[in-house]
Amino acid sequence: MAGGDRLGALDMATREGEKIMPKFTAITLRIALVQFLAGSTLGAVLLVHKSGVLAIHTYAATREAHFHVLCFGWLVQLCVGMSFWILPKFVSESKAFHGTKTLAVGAIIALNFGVLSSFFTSRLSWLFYAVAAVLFVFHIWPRVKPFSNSHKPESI
Amino acid sequence: MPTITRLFIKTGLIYFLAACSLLVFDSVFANGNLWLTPTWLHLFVVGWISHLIFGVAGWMFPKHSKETPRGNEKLGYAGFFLLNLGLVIRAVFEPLSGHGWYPVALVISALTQWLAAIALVLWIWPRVKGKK
Repeated sequence: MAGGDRLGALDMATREGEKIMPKFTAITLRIALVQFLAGSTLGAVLLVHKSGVLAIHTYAATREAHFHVLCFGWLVQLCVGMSFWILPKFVSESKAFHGTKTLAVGAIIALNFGVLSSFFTSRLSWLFYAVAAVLFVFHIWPRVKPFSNSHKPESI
Repeated sequence: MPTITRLFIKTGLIYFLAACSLLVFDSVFANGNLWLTPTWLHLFVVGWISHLIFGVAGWMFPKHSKETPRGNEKLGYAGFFLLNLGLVIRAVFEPLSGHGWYPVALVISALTQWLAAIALVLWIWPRVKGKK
């Protein structure tokens, strides 16, 4: 494995990376990465507060935001973006489709509104997350199916 | 599977085991007072899930270029080192709130984990490439 390691498996994963991800996935993952940084920053502030070196007056609100940004803004958003890319697509003669893209876009918009509103009130966040969940499930449900013979997945 | 991916995933698996063990210990011996919760929760989310995500992303995401297919791997290794340094310091000192090193240790842990997040995002960001 050591000799062929340099390119050995990247290739298994992305056919030497020649394939690129859909624009929707790229946008979603970039938003998720930004929120990973934001959530980590909030986490660092909370840990410094816990050390007693620096006290913040909005500890409870910061902890709440830390949870929402990392759990929903980072992890859930990553799952939505990746599933849009790697799950089986619908194949026509000329191209592959990712399903009803409007539903996926709606899910991401609702998800991010949920994360943003967590800075003000978490009740509104949960409402947005529920909308996002419904839209996402309606989008992804038909794509949970076997790969068709004529269409190999981009990433496997 | 590339070396850096194996490193991330195997380390993540160790954290997964550690988090589960600590959770069992906390549930059985803490008598309802889960004082280790922040520790096992972060071992699980940062130690297990984050290692898994960045390890697999480093493997599966579109290649950066022919010369450097996995992008700047030094950033990946730097992120790995900082993340583990911060996480281990946190896991050791967080339950020891009366210890003299407690404040300094938590500040160092916060700083190293934050720098790790920056390094890991800088490593993966150029490989998030969408169709035009």
